[in-house]
Amino acid sequence: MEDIKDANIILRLGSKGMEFFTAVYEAAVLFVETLFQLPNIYFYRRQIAEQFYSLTVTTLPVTSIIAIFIGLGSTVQGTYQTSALTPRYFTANVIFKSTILELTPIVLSLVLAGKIGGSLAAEVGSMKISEQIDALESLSLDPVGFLVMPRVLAGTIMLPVMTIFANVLAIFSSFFMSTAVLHWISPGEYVSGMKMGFKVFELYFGNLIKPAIFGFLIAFFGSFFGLRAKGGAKGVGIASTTAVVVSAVLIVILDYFTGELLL
Amino acid sequence: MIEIRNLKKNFEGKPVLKGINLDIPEGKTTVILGPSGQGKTVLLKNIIGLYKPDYGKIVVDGVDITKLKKSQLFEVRKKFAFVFQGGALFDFLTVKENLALYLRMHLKMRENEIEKKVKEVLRVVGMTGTEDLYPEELSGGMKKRVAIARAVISAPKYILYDEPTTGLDRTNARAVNNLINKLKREYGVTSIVVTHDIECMKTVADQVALLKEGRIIFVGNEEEVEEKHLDYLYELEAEHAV
Repeated sequence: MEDIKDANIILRLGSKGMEFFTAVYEAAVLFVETLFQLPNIYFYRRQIAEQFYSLTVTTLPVTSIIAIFIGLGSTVQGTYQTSALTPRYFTANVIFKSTILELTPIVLSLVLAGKIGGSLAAEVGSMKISEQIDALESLSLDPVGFLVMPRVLAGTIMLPVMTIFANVLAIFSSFFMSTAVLHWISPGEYVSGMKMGFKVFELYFGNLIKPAIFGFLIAFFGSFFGLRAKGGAKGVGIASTTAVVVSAVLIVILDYFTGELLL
Repeated sequence: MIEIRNLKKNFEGKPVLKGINLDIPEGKTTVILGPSGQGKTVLLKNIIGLYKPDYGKIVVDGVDITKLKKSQLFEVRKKFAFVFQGGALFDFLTVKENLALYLRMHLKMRENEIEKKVKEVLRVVGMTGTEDLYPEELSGGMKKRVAIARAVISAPKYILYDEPTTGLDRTNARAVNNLINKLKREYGVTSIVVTHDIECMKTVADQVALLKEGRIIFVGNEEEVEEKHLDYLYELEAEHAV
């Protein structure tokens, strides 16, 4: 009896392992197919423009709220943790760098993974189960070119844009909180804190490189799990949740590795 | 002309199509009649290349589409239009945008030409004035007619209908059947209709193929089917009534 139980566990593990490797293989295939669709940017220009518009418009309010409160929260924490012996411009420097390099990119990406990734997976998934993907193919339109490539392109380009916008808002709100509300530092000191040890590459890293990677992950896995959706509404729900969880976990892991490799 | 030879298709090891042989004559309507779960839709999706068969050939105008690359298959598909069972209209586009998609993407038509063409096709299917509606605002019968309009607008040589009358009341089903006949008459389209609806078969078929357990068991005209396979029709009608 015990042997049968063990065999069942091994079989189940084996089948889960196969599922995992199949998914990795399919994701790799979709990635290559998406790359091959890039020369068709002009052909799918309308779909790309729609994705850029929709990503910006739908995420702007939530991005603004997150950015303002990241700035306020990091300022309150920074001033609270600073002792009387710490130079104030040094604290301003820590707030500035931690905000643009870490807080804004990762918090914004995680929130957008839920918002954009989830909705992309649900949108593509419901198209899959209602035969709209087949309908695209029957019209001689490649679903990867029509649906995936525009979303991935928009995600990869728009997340850096949104991060730059969010970082500007966050730094302004921190500056305002520090100099006009808490009065713990003068504007001049705050600015010199920002300039201390300033490296241009850090701006690229926090505003462009990391958000571009995270934006790609969110859009790619949203589309990927949407295309794998099966069954009915439950299948779409599973696709949506999986897309959010996978992209959020990968964002956190890659956040560490990009920092380790590039900084 | 479409020739299907010894077509086999399995899903997860379970055989669905077990060696289909069928010729689809040009300019005629071929009805593939069979109960649910016999592989009718699978056969249709193989014909247009949405599924790849495990074995056999599908020859469309002399070209075996089972051997084509994706890009070549997309070119062959321009000869086809597919009317899906649920319509499969793009729910994020209006009726006009649904119809305009093919014209805009493949034919690079100007907006005024697109507008004219959309109006014309909507008139043919009796859906004038619905241009700005979204699919969710349409009834089942209206969705089917818009789906047929989307199929017709690309001026295809072949139209494949997947259960065109399923889920429709008698009046709407009759309207859709008449539309299938009208398209054959006015545009000379070759149609393949898969259905379990005997009324639909009687109204539109020039040629009938009976599908049973993954095999074509008979090909002939409506009279021959009624003469030689009346029991099959009774079975089908009984299942349909349930």
